[in-house]
Amino acid sequence: MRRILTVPAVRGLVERSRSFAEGWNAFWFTPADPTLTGVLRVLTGLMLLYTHAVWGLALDDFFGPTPWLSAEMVRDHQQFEFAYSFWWWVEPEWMWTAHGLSLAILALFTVGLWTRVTSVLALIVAISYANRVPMALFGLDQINVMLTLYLTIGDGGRAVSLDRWLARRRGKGPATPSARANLGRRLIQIHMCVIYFFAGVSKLQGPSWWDGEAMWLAFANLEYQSMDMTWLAWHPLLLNAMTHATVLWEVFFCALVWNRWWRPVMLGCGTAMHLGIGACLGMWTFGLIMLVGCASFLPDEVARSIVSAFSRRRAGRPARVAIPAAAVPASAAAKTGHRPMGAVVSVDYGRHRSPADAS
Amino acid sequence: MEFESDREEPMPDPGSPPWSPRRRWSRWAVNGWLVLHVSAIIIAPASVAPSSFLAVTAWEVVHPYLQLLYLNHGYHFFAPEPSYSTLLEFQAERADGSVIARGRIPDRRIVPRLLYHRHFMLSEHMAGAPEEVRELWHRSFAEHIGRKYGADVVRLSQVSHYLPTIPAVQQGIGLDHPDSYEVVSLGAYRCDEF
Repeated sequence: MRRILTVPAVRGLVERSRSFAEGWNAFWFTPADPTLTGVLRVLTGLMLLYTHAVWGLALDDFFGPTPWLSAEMVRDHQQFEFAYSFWWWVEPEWMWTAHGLSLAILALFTVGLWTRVTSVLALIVAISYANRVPMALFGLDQINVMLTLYLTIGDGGRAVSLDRWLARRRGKGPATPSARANLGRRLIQIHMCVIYFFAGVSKLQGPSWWDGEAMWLAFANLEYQSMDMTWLAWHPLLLNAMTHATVLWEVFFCALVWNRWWRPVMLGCGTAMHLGIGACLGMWTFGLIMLVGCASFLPDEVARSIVSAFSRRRAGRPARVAIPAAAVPASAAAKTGHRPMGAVVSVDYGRHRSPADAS
Repeated sequence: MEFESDREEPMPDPGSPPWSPRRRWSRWAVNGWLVLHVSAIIIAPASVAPSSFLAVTAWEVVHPYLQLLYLNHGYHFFAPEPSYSTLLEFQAERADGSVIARGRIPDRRIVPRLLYHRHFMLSEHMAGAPEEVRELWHRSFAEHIGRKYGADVVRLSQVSHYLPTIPAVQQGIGLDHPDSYEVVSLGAYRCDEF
C-alpha cells in the first residue's frame, strides 16, 4: 500500500482528494457567527406570520367545511404523493383553534422562543397549510418552507432570539460561532442558486425570452398588474434589455454570486428585480421572501451591524439598571458572572488558513 | 434548554487525538445526507418536462423525500414564457332562476393582495389541470359557491384573458378591451346533488 502511495500519479490523486475533503468541510462546517441566521429567522418568521394571518381572512373559504378545494379533489391530486397535513384531522368546529395555535407557533419561532422545538413545529405548520390548499399556492409558499427548513437545521434561534436573551440572563455569554449556523446558511445559498439557475434555463425554452418580448407579456397581464406599465410599449429596446438581463442574471447567479467582486452586483440586480416584481406585478410577498433568501449571501458584518443598530436604539431608551455598570468589561464580567467574548469568527469563503500560512 | 452544548469541536490537527468513532460516523452521515439532499433539490426542477429519462428516473428515487419536505418544485417562474390569464366567472341562482350573486375570481376588490393572489392561483391552476380531473375541480368550486350564497344552481364559466401586443397598445387598445376576453361555459351545477 505504501509503495502504491509513492507513485506520483496516485499521490497526486490522494492529495487532490484530501484537498477536496478539506474544502468540502470548510464550506459546510466552518463554525460561523449565528447572527445572520438569527436575522433570517426573524424575517422569515415575519413573512410566515403574515402569510398565515392572511389565510385567517378567508379561513372558511379555504379550510372550512365546504372550501374552494374539497378534500376529495385535493386527495385525488395527492393520491400518489407523500403529502401530509394536520388539516385532514381538524374538525370544522376546531378550525379556528388550530389556526390560532399555528399562528402562536409561528410567533414563537419569529421571536426565537424555545426555537429548537418551535422551528420544527413551524415547519410542520407551513407544510400542512401548503398541502391542504395546493392549488392556491405560488412561489412564496415554496420559499417560506425552504427557509424554515434550513433555519431549523441551522439552529436559527441561537442568536437574535428570546432564547439567547434568556440564556444571557442565566449568565451565559453571547452566541458562539456554530457549524450548524454555517450549514443552515450554506443550504439556503445553494438552494437559492438552484432556484435561479432553473428559473433561468427554463426560460430559454420560450421564444419570447429570446425575442425580447417576455417582459412585455408580464407587464401586459392585467391580472398581475399593480402598476400601469403600458408606457413601455413605446420603449421596446428597454423591454428587450430587461428581458435579456433577467435571463442572464438568473442563469449566471449561481456562478457569479460566489465571487467577491461580482457578489454586490448580483445581489444589487436581484434586489432591483424582486422589488420590481413587488411593485409592478403586485407580488410583494414573493419579492420580499426571495430577498430574504438572497440575504444569506450578506457578510456577517452586515448582520451584526443591523442587530447592533437595533440594540443601540433600545439602549437609547431609559431602562432600570439592576447592576452598576463598570467601566472595565473585565470587572463587569466578574460582577455579573458573564464570560467576556472574543471577536466572533467570520465565515471564511476560502480554504482554512492557519496563522503559520498567513505568515 | 442548553445553548452551548452544540459548540463545535475544532477540526482535529495532526497533533491532536483523532475524533471518536461515533463522531466520525455522524460526520459521515451528515456528509452523505448533504450529497443526497443537494442532488435531490437539483433533480426536482431538472425532472420537469421536457426532461431526460435519467432525470425522471432519478426523480422516481428522490420524490418521496422531496414531497415529505415540500421541496418538490420546478421553479419555472414565468417559463417557458409569460402567458395569458385564466379567470373563473360564476353565477349563483335560486331554483326559480333569479340571480343571488355574480362574481369573478380573481376579483380586484379582494384585499390584501396576497389573498387576491390566492384566488388568482385557483383559476390559473384550474386551467392547467388534466382534462380527466377538471370536472372534480368544477364541482368543488360550484359546491363552495353554492353553500356560500345559499344557491340552488351555480353556473361556471372559464374566462381566458389574452394579452395585447405592443402595436395594439400603441394604437390605443387597453389591457381590458372586451375582445381580449374569451368566455367558455363550464356548465350549471345543482347544489342539491352535492
